[in-house]
Amino acid sequence: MLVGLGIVIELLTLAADLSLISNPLASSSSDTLRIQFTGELHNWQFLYPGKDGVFYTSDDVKIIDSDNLFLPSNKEILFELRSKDYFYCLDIPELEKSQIAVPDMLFKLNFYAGKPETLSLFPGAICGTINDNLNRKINIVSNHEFNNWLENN
Amino acid sequence: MKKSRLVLTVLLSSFILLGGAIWMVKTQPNIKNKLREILGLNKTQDEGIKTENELSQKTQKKPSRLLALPEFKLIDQNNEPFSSQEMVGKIWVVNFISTRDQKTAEMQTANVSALQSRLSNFELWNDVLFITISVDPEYDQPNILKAYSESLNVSLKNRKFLTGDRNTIWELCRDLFTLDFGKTPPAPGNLLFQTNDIILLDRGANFTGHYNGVQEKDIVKLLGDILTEIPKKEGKIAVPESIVTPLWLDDRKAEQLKTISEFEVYHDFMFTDKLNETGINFRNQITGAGGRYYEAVHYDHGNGLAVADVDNDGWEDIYFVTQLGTNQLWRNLGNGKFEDITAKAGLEMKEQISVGASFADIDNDGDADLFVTTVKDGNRLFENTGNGTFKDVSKPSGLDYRGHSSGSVFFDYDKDGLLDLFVTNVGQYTTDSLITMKVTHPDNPLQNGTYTYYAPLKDAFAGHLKPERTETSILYKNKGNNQFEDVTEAVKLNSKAWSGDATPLDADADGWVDLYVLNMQGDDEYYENVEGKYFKNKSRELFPKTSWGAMGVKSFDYNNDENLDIYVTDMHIDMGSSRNKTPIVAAEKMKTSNTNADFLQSENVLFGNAMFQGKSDGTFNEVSEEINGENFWPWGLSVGDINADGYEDIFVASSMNFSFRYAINSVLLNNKGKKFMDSEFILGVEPRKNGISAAYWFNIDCDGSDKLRFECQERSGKYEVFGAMGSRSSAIFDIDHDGDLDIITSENNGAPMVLINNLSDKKEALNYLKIKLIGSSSNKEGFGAKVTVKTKLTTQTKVKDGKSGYLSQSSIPLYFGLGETKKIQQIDILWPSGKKQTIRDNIPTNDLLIIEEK
Repeated sequence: MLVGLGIVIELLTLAADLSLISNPLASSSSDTLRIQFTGELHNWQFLYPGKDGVFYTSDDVKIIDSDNLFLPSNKEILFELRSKDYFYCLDIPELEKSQIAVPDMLFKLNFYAGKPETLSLFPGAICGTINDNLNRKINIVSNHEFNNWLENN
Repeated sequence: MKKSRLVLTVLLSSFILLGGAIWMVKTQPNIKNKLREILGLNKTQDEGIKTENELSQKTQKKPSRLLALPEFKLIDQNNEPFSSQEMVGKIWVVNFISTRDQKTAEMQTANVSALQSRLSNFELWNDVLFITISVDPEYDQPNILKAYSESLNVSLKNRKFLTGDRNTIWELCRDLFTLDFGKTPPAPGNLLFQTNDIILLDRGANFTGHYNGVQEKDIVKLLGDILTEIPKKEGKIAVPESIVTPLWLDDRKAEQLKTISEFEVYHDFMFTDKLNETGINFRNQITGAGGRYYEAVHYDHGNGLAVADVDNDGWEDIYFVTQLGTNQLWRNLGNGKFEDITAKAGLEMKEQISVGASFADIDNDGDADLFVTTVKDGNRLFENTGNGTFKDVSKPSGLDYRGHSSGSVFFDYDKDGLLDLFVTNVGQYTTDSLITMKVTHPDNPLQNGTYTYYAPLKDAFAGHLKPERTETSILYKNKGNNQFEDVTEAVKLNSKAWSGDATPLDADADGWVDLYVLNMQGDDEYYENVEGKYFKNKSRELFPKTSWGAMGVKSFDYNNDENLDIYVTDMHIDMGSSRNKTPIVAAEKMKTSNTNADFLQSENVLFGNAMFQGKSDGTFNEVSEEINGENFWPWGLSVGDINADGYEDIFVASSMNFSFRYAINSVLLNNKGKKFMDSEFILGVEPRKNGISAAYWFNIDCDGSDKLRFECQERSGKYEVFGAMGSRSSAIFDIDHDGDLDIITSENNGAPMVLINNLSDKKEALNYLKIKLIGSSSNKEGFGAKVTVKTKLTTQTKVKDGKSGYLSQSSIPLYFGLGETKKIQQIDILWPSGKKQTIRDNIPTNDLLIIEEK
């Protein structure tokens, strides 16, 4: 049952991603690390494309229960935000960046991860105050550390 | 890290199906602290500041009292006996001094006095007893203690200085106050001990905390514990905790008092909430979407209230609107009391979720009819049958639209002498499934019962991104005989705004009333009325940028230049602001607001409130910064000359509720048309009555179905959950006919405030004129009439539009404060029919003048 559910979710995500492919603005060079954010039940799920840089391949890494996200330093980053239910808001105060996730829509947030540092990821107030579950830390680390983390997930 | 959450997910889904939003909470201290900071939570309360002074080390922490209270007898400063019986049901704050031989005694005494003064603002104050016990009992006889307290100007209300038998005090300190200074007391003549500790005992005489009485931060912590820890022990939880101890209110008050020298206008008067004296027991009851099952949805916009003299007895009656339960009509008995005449008036409506209400005389028969908006239950029109009883004519009138209607305004767009109606629709924010909710309110059982409401869409606040959810606002033409026709398309009105309210105004003074339509999720709209034939969209031409989250609007002439200005309040700019700071400028609020372009979908965003200053050529300048037009978490506004000086003042109903921080209601006193002065603290509107800004919201059972709720983190047992109080709408009128303007509010999930103005008692020469208009070829209500009152001091222009507060329209007389003159030189009326009327002779003052159209 778990596997079945997983496949359905993957298919839905894939369907959403196809619309992304058809959008010329969505194409990004291999210099950019894409990460999918999916809001569900007042929580975030994250999908990394793995070493091959392509989603929906065997080396994808899904992060579903972690307080920490990792990003490699000196890299262009693109978050692709979707929601399966609620309206989600995301703030990264250190970068003065914000974005939203809405069912049936795709929104993006891009930035350059520079030197190693830790950023915070908060839910924005317009989506309600009681969303502690959406809090995360974004750790920008060296390439080596990042790859280690990815491999261990 | 890849833990499966399937079990939890299934469990959660079942709650979601029941309509419950559940928040899972993880422990992430740093992030949580940041969030708490954003919410305005008092960090110091969390960090548990330790007392540093070694004198405070002798206290043993005991979690609770299991033994019976020790019996004791001491003597107070008046030589009266004092026994353990005095403790029953009281919260004790105890400290220990020697009047002759302790360096810190005076400082301790002063700090307890400061605490006493702070607490006197709170209702809880009556339950707190401040006890100072002498550790030098042979020397500190009652007369010494009395003299000591007098020398330090100590207020002895709720406070006692005690002395007595050395051994009794010793045992008491050991057994009750958990102070451990050894087995036996020192010999008589010596101090029993020295400590700076203040001990807090709860109502059950349980040790609750100890605090260093000479450390300011400990005193602040003690205050916080009295107001939050003790209620928590008694089964009450406040979310966020800061709503119980909004210490920033003190700072804000102090800052406001410092500005008094800048006031050029009369401000030596006060408002007092006299709800209890009125007999009004109405209580607004919200859907679960804004309370127990909090989800971000437009239900949290609350309800309006409307005012009209429904029975033509000369006294204005009040119609209160609620989401759950019946709206209520309260008749003004004229003696400060009100009577619930809802049933008698035929206005009981128990099954729907209401939103707003408007009074207007739709059939020109001389009485106020009533229109009520609902959420998908059909809007209602009630015809006043002449004596304050009403007949439901919703269906035959054609006004029974079912949707997400909000504010409604009557005005005569085609100048046929009949009032037409513009109904604003927000947009689809609910699904078609119904949620059943049981209301059991501990203090106010009147609206208790089982109710249903439409489930909110989970992404309701992103609705403006989904065009299919648009709900066009509607213009109805009044065809006479209580028949209305939807002419929206015919007059080319095409407002797709997520609109909560709108105001009519004739900005270009061509005699045809235009419409300013608010958008709570995007750009406001402006439609110019072209000779009653159609409306021309002039939104960006006249208003290049508007407030993105527009909630309230009122057009009025704030600077007495005879041009109408428009004030718009913007709520969303303020959502992330950590707390109420001064100065209030939009730029500061913006830093913590969602300014994401994908969400805003607009390049015309004016951040914060807007004051569009009207110019004589019909265009506007935005001057909100210059006139100090910003405030915190605003909803609707009402305008009235509350100090009767000839300049219109503003009341802004404010604050979000559970689970957000508290925000103050704003009173903006007009400083002679130059700018507005924040004056809610100076005028007694803030802090609220008894200093209370938190109210009961719902019950939870942390051992049962609520186990997963965030409030139950690290808790078991049953609790009452408290949320921030918050107003949504208001009406300003002279409730008690004493000549000054009073304010009545619509509270979200609470009882209204009836803020009675004492200006008429304070100001020796209060000068004003009230004007009631009666149209003949114009609509009888006189809506749209422009009245100019000239004295040697001011020329005041007011348009009677009935707009008062969010979601509401009222039928109340115009009120002109005259300042220091009693003499009105001239009154000019420009009726909607185009007729001009001038009155020069026999103009009364301090009276109601009835002007009929001639």
